Amino acid sequence: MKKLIRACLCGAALLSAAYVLAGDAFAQQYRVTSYRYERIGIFSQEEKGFARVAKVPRAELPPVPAAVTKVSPRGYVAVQGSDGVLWFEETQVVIEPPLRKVTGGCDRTVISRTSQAGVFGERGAGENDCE
Amino acid sequence: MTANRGVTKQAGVLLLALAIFAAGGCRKTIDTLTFSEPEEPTRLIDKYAVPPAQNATAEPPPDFPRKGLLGQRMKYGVMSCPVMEERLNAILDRIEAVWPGEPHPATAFIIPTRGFQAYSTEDGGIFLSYSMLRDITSENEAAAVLAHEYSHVVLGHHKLSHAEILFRAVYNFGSMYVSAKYNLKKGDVKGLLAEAGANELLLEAGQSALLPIFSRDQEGDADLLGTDLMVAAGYDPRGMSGFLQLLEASEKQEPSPEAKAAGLTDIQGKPGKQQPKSLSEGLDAAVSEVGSQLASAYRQMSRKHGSTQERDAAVHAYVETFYEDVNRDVDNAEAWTALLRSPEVTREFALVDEVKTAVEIKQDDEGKAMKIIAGLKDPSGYAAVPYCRYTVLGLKSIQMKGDVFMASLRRSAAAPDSLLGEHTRLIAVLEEKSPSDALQAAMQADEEFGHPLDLLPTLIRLNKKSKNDVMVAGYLVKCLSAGDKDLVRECHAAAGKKQ
Repeated sequence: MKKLIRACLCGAALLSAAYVLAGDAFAQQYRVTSYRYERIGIFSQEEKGFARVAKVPRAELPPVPAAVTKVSPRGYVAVQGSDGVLWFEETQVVIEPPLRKVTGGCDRTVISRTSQAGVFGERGAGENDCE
Repeated sequence: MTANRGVTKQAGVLLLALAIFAAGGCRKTIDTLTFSEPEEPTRLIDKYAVPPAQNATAEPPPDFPRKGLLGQRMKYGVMSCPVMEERLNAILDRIEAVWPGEPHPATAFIIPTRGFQAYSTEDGGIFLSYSMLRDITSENEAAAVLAHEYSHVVLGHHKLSHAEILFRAVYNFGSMYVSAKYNLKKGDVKGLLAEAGANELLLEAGQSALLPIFSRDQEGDADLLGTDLMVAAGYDPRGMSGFLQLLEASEKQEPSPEAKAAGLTDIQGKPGKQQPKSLSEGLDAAVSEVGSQLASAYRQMSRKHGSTQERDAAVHAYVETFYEDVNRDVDNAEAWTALLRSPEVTREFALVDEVKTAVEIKQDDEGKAMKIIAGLKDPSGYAAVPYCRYTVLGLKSIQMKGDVFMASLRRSAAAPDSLLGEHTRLIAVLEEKSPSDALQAAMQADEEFGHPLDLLPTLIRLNKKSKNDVMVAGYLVKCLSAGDKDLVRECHAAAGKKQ
């Protein structure tokens, strides 16, 4: 019985290690290539989520490109700072290759002249003038 | 010299149009937009919200955006995906509920359009492309785009479109003036073409340099008010930045304006826009010779000043000012992903993908395109999506017997969600057999779609065939008053007249 428990524990440990390593490997293909704003929020990972601990001027942040060490599906990425791991909001940094991709593209279709003339008063968030 | 005088004249007309616009009913909008930067930091939701009681005399907004939906039926129509629509409208309900001003009902629809596209209509229609919904990664981002569009609606931004129509009319009448002069004085081709080129450039100036400044302010206001609304509705303010950054990535993938123009074909694969006749070719040449660099400078200026990156920076600064301590960890990414992966959404989006792929490859590989169409697993599924129904019937038409095709055409045109394209196709087929039946169908479509400009050449042609000269004259006048030079050319051709 003890052997069985030990084997299970070993298996679980190995699986966890593989999961962590796979996650790290996923993260490590990305680089933070620039900081989007003058001051960037630094976050700590806590039990219930992420909490901002500081706002740091761009000049005091790790030099870019900086390897991403972890990616959180909650929208945060970690890089290694001189004093430890620094978590950033994904929207505050530029990541290459992009973590999120857009399919983009345009439709090869004409639209009605009436609606083109603005009779229906269009105004778009995308402002994508494919059409 | 002629060119200089032309520029002065056209500039005068443009300035006059601006003056009319400024003095007219849109004055309030201009004031708001021009002085949109507050002296003290104020949230836009506090600045713009007018308590309902103060605006009690205004006509209440419609409960359902019939006009907006009708406009969409003149393009691709909307998709039918209840699960996604319910979610979008539930988000929109939360956003509407926190708007403290005059209530304005709005409804979200999904459109079968590729690219990162969203737009709203004055009557509260919010239209989102399916491919954008697929690229969005959380409900926060969906809330951002809905809140942005809803802000356009409650701020009355669509009223500015009337000014754009005015500018377009001024330009088109200018073009027609040049056109008429060109026909009269064939000797002075170079000078007239230069004048025509100047007219094109003035349009560029009007549209790219002047109007978009207002539009950019409106976009900025919609971003910030949208942020207020989504935060008040309980969403993560990062959603707005996330959405704008996806938009930025999408813009980087957009083709050049030249490629877009070349790609404008209809879904049958024919050129979508009439090829330029001699004068238009001359205009293009003149623009190319006289002012392509100036036009390019205008374009660059308008883009530089209104970049998505700048919009994102403005949103970030706004969030830092007003929402620094708000909960920034509203996790709804998994729920959104689950929605996208649900069988209904996957099936509906894949259906439109397949139809679009068939259209794209039809010219190069018709057999493969037909194979895709034949392989559509659920025949009733595509028939329920007007865009797919229209496209599939178009692709299958060559294989169908005449009477079967006609029956299908009649059925699709009779559908309550029929596209204008389905009606024009039926009219074209009827015209070959019975012009009077075609005229009847055209008049029905004209009524159903609220007298669209697109139908004017058809109505003129069919009335001419039926010898209804009074009707021909009436439609011609309407056509001229629309101020669209291409349309006028088509109307004249339909009436068998020279311009």
